[in-house]
Amino acid sequence: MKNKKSKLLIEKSLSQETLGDLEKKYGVKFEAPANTKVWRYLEGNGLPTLARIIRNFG
Amino acid sequence: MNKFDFISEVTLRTNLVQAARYLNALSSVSISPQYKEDILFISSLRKTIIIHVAAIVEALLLWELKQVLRTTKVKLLNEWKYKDMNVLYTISTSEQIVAGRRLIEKKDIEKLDFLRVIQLCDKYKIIQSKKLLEDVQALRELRNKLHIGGLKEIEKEYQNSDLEFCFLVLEHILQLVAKGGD
Repeated sequence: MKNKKSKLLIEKSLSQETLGDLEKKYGVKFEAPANTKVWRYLEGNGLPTLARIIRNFG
Repeated sequence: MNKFDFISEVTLRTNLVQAARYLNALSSVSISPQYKEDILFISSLRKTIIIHVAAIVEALLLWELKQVLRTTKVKLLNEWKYKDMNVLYTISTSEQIVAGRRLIEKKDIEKLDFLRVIQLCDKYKIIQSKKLLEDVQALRELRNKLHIGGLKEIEKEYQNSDLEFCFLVLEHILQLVAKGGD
Protein backbone atom coordinates (compact mmCIF):
# COMPACT_ATOMS: atom_id res chain seq x y z
CA MET A 1 0.00 0.00 0.00
CA LYS A 2 2.85 2.35 0.92
CA ASN A 3 4.50 1.68 -2.45
CA LYS A 4 1.24 2.31 -4.26
CA LYS A 5 0.87 5.68 -2.49
CA SER A 6 4.39 6.85 -3.33
CA LYS A 7 3.87 5.75 -6.96
CA LEU A 8 0.74 7.89 -7.10
CA LEU A 9 2.69 10.87 -5.73
CA ILE A 10 5.42 10.46 -8.34
CA GLU A 11 2.85 10.30 -11.15
CA LYS A 12 1.06 13.49 -10.06
CA SER A 13 1.48 16.17 -12.71
CA LEU A 14 3.71 19.09 -11.78
CA SER A 15 0.94 21.63 -12.09
CA GLN A 16 -1.03 19.69 -9.46
CA GLU A 17 1.89 19.22 -7.06
CA THR A 18 1.45 20.91 -3.66
CA LEU A 19 3.82 22.14 -0.97
CA GLY A 20 2.56 19.24 1.14
CA ASP A 21 3.85 16.82 -1.50
CA LEU A 22 7.31 18.44 -1.36
CA GLU A 23 7.29 18.42 2.45
CA LYS A 24 6.56 14.69 2.41
CA LYS A 25 9.19 13.92 -0.21
CA TYR A 26 12.03 16.19 0.89
CA GLY A 27 11.22 17.26 4.47
CA VAL A 28 11.33 20.94 3.52
CA LYS A 29 9.14 23.34 5.51
CA PHE A 30 7.15 26.13 3.86
CA GLU A 31 5.30 29.04 5.47
CA ALA A 32 2.16 28.36 3.48
CA PRO A 33 -0.71 25.84 3.70
CA ALA A 34 0.20 22.31 2.62
CA ASN A 35 -2.47 22.34 -0.09
CA THR A 36 -0.90 25.35 -1.85
CA LYS A 37 0.02 24.49 -5.43
CA VAL A 38 3.80 24.66 -5.93
CA TRP A 39 3.45 26.92 -9.00
CA ARG A 40 1.40 29.42 -6.98
CA TYR A 41 4.10 29.45 -4.30
CA LEU A 42 6.80 30.01 -6.94
CA GLU A 43 4.72 32.77 -8.54
CA GLY A 44 4.34 34.60 -5.24
CA ASN A 45 7.99 34.26 -4.27
CA GLY A 46 9.91 35.76 -7.17
CA LEU A 47 9.84 32.94 -9.72
CA PRO A 48 6.83 33.79 -11.93
CA THR A 49 8.38 32.44 -15.14
CA LEU A 50 8.92 28.97 -13.72
CA ALA A 51 5.35 29.12 -12.35
CA ARG A 52 4.10 29.94 -15.86
CA ILE A 53 6.15 27.11 -17.41
CA ILE A 54 4.68 24.63 -14.92
CA ARG A 55 1.14 25.88 -15.60
CA ASN A 56 1.61 25.59 -19.37
CA PHE A 57 3.71 22.44 -19.60
CA GLY A 58 3.05 20.66 -16.30
CA MET B 1 6.60 20.12 -17.14
CA ASN B 2 5.71 16.47 -17.42
CA LYS B 3 3.90 16.88 -20.72
CA PHE B 4 6.79 16.83 -23.12
CA ASP B 5 4.39 15.21 -25.58
CA PHE B 6 6.11 16.85 -28.52
CA ILE B 7 9.17 14.67 -27.80
CA SER B 8 8.36 11.29 -29.33
CA GLU B 9 11.51 9.55 -28.07
CA VAL B 10 10.54 7.87 -24.78
CA THR B 11 14.00 7.88 -23.14
CA LEU B 12 14.56 11.57 -23.79
CA ARG B 13 11.03 12.46 -22.71
CA THR B 14 11.42 10.52 -19.45
CA ASN B 15 14.79 12.13 -18.73
CA LEU B 16 13.35 15.58 -19.42
CA VAL B 17 10.43 14.95 -17.09
CA GLN B 18 12.80 13.82 -14.34
CA ALA B 19 15.02 16.88 -14.82
CA ALA B 20 11.94 19.11 -14.75
CA ARG B 21 10.69 17.52 -11.52
CA TYR B 22 14.07 18.01 -9.91
CA LEU B 23 14.12 21.61 -11.13
CA ASN B 24 10.72 22.24 -9.60
CA ALA B 25 11.72 20.75 -6.24
CA LEU B 26 15.07 22.59 -6.09
CA SER B 27 13.43 25.90 -7.00
CA SER B 28 10.83 25.47 -4.27
CA VAL B 29 13.53 24.66 -1.71
CA SER B 30 15.53 27.72 -2.83
CA ILE B 31 12.68 30.04 -1.82
CA SER B 32 11.53 28.16 1.29
CA PRO B 33 12.01 30.07 4.57
CA GLN B 34 13.82 27.06 6.03
CA TYR B 35 17.14 27.95 4.39
CA LYS B 36 16.78 31.69 3.81
CA GLU B 37 19.56 32.56 6.31
CA ASP B 38 22.03 30.22 4.61
CA ILE B 39 23.01 32.51 1.74
CA LEU B 40 25.87 30.36 0.43
CA PHE B 41 23.67 27.25 0.36
CA ILE B 42 20.86 29.07 -1.48
CA SER B 43 23.33 30.53 -3.98
CA SER B 44 24.79 27.06 -4.67
CA LEU B 45 21.28 25.66 -5.00
CA ARG B 46 20.50 28.35 -7.60
CA LYS B 47 23.68 27.41 -9.47
CA THR B 48 22.52 23.77 -9.52
CA ILE B 49 19.14 24.92 -10.86
CA ILE B 50 20.91 26.84 -13.66
CA ILE B 51 22.85 23.69 -14.59
CA HIS B 52 19.58 21.73 -14.83
CA VAL B 53 17.89 24.44 -16.91
CA ALA B 54 20.87 24.46 -19.29
CA ALA B 55 20.74 20.65 -19.55
CA ILE B 56 17.04 20.78 -20.49
CA VAL B 57 17.59 23.58 -23.05
CA GLU B 58 20.55 21.72 -24.58
CA ALA B 59 18.50 18.50 -24.85
CA LEU B 60 15.54 20.31 -26.43
CA LEU B 61 17.72 22.04 -29.02
CA LEU B 62 19.56 18.83 -29.86
CA TRP B 63 16.21 17.11 -30.34
CA GLU B 64 15.04 19.87 -32.67
CA LEU B 65 18.32 19.75 -34.58
CA LYS B 66 17.89 16.00 -35.08
CA GLN B 67 14.35 16.54 -36.35
CA VAL B 68 15.57 19.09 -38.89
CA LEU B 69 18.73 17.31 -40.08
CA ARG B 70 17.49 13.70 -39.96
CA THR B 71 21.04 12.37 -39.92
CA THR B 72 23.43 10.73 -37.44
CA LYS B 73 26.53 12.64 -38.63
CA VAL B 74 26.72 16.38 -38.96
CA LYS B 75 29.24 18.65 -40.68
CA LEU B 76 30.74 21.13 -38.25
CA LEU B 77 31.21 24.80 -39.03
CA ASN B 78 34.72 25.73 -40.10
CA GLU B 79 36.31 22.83 -38.19
CA TRP B 80 38.82 20.88 -40.27
CA LYS B 81 40.55 17.53 -40.10
CA TYR B 82 44.07 17.66 -41.60
CA LYS B 83 45.40 14.62 -43.53
CA ASP B 84 48.53 13.60 -45.49
CA MET B 85 50.58 16.46 -44.12
CA ASN B 86 54.01 17.10 -45.64
CA VAL B 87 56.62 19.43 -44.21
CA LEU B 88 57.76 21.83 -46.95
CA TYR B 89 60.12 23.90 -44.89
CA THR B 90 61.24 23.98 -41.24
CA ILE B 91 61.53 27.50 -39.92
CA SER B 92 62.40 26.51 -36.35
CA THR B 93 61.78 23.69 -33.85
CA SER B 94 58.35 25.21 -33.18
CA GLU B 95 57.38 26.48 -36.65
CA GLN B 96 57.02 24.69 -40.03
CA ILE B 97 55.51 25.36 -43.43
CA VAL B 98 53.35 22.40 -44.45
CA ALA B 99 51.04 21.20 -47.21
CA GLY B 100 48.27 18.63 -47.11
CA ARG B 101 44.57 17.90 -47.47
CA ARG B 102 41.90 19.14 -45.13
CA LEU B 103 38.37 17.84 -44.80
CA ILE B 104 35.51 19.50 -43.00
CA GLU B 105 34.98 17.64 -39.71
CA LYS B 106 31.92 15.43 -39.31
CA LYS B 107 30.70 14.53 -35.86
CA ASP B 108 28.18 12.10 -34.41
CA ILE B 109 25.11 14.26 -33.73
CA GLU B 110 24.64 12.59 -30.31
CA LYS B 111 28.08 13.79 -29.22
CA LEU B 112 27.72 17.48 -29.97
CA ASP B 113 28.49 19.82 -27.10
CA PHE B 114 26.22 22.71 -26.14
CA LEU B 115 28.27 25.33 -28.05
CA ARG B 116 28.12 23.35 -31.30
CA VAL B 117 24.41 22.65 -30.82
CA ILE B 118 23.80 26.41 -30.55
CA GLN B 119 25.98 27.17 -33.60
CA LEU B 120 24.15 24.58 -35.69
CA CYS B 121 20.76 25.84 -34.50
CA ASP B 122 21.85 29.23 -35.83
CA LYS B 123 23.16 27.80 -39.13
CA TYR B 124 20.00 25.78 -39.83
CA LYS B 125 17.70 28.66 -38.72
CA ILE B 126 16.20 26.65 -35.87
CA ILE B 127 16.69 29.76 -33.74
CA GLN B 128 16.15 32.81 -35.92
CA SER B 129 15.98 35.46 -33.22
CA LYS B 130 19.43 36.97 -32.54
CA LYS B 131 18.29 37.95 -29.06
CA LEU B 132 17.30 34.37 -28.23
CA LEU B 133 20.61 33.09 -29.62
CA GLU B 134 22.49 35.53 -27.37
CA ASP B 135 20.39 34.51 -24.39
CA VAL B 136 21.01 30.79 -24.99
CA GLN B 137 24.75 31.55 -25.23
CA ALA B 138 24.53 33.49 -21.96
CA LEU B 139 22.80 30.51 -20.33
CA ARG B 140 25.58 28.23 -21.60
CA GLU B 141 28.21 30.56 -20.16
CA LEU B 142 26.40 30.61 -16.81
CA ARG B 143 26.27 26.79 -16.91
CA ASN B 144 30.01 26.66 -17.63
CA LYS B 145 30.72 28.30 -14.28
CA LEU B 146 30.38 24.81 -12.80
CA HIS B 147 34.05 24.43 -13.87
CA ILE B 148 35.36 26.41 -10.91
CA GLY B 149 39.00 25.62 -11.73
CA GLY B 150 38.93 28.01 -14.68
CA LEU B 151 37.14 30.95 -13.04
CA LYS B 152 39.12 34.20 -12.92
CA GLU B 153 36.92 35.74 -10.22
CA ILE B 154 35.40 34.52 -6.96
CA GLU B 155 31.99 33.01 -7.70
CA LYS B 156 29.20 35.54 -7.45
CA GLU B 157 26.15 35.11 -5.28
CA TYR B 158 23.35 33.83 -7.52
CA GLN B 159 20.00 35.61 -7.22
CA ASN B 160 16.39 34.88 -8.16
CA SER B 161 16.89 37.30 -11.08
CA ASP B 162 19.55 34.91 -12.50
CA LEU B 163 17.02 32.07 -12.25
CA GLU B 164 14.31 34.15 -13.88
CA PHE B 165 16.62 34.87 -16.82
CA CYS B 166 17.31 31.13 -17.25
CA PHE B 167 13.61 30.24 -16.94
CA LEU B 168 12.74 32.83 -19.62
CA VAL B 169 15.24 31.20 -21.98
CA LEU B 170 13.77 27.78 -21.16
CA GLU B 171 10.23 29.05 -21.77
CA HIS B 172 11.17 30.40 -25.21
CA ILE B 173 12.95 27.19 -26.19
CA LEU B 174 10.06 25.03 -24.95
CA GLN B 175 7.63 27.08 -27.07
CA LEU B 176 9.97 26.94 -30.07
CA VAL B 177 10.49 23.16 -29.93
CA ALA B 178 6.83 22.42 -29.12
CA LYS B 179 5.75 24.17 -32.31
CA GLY B 180 8.68 22.72 -34.30
CA GLY B 181 10.99 25.65 -35.03
CA ASP B 182 11.35 29.44 -34.74
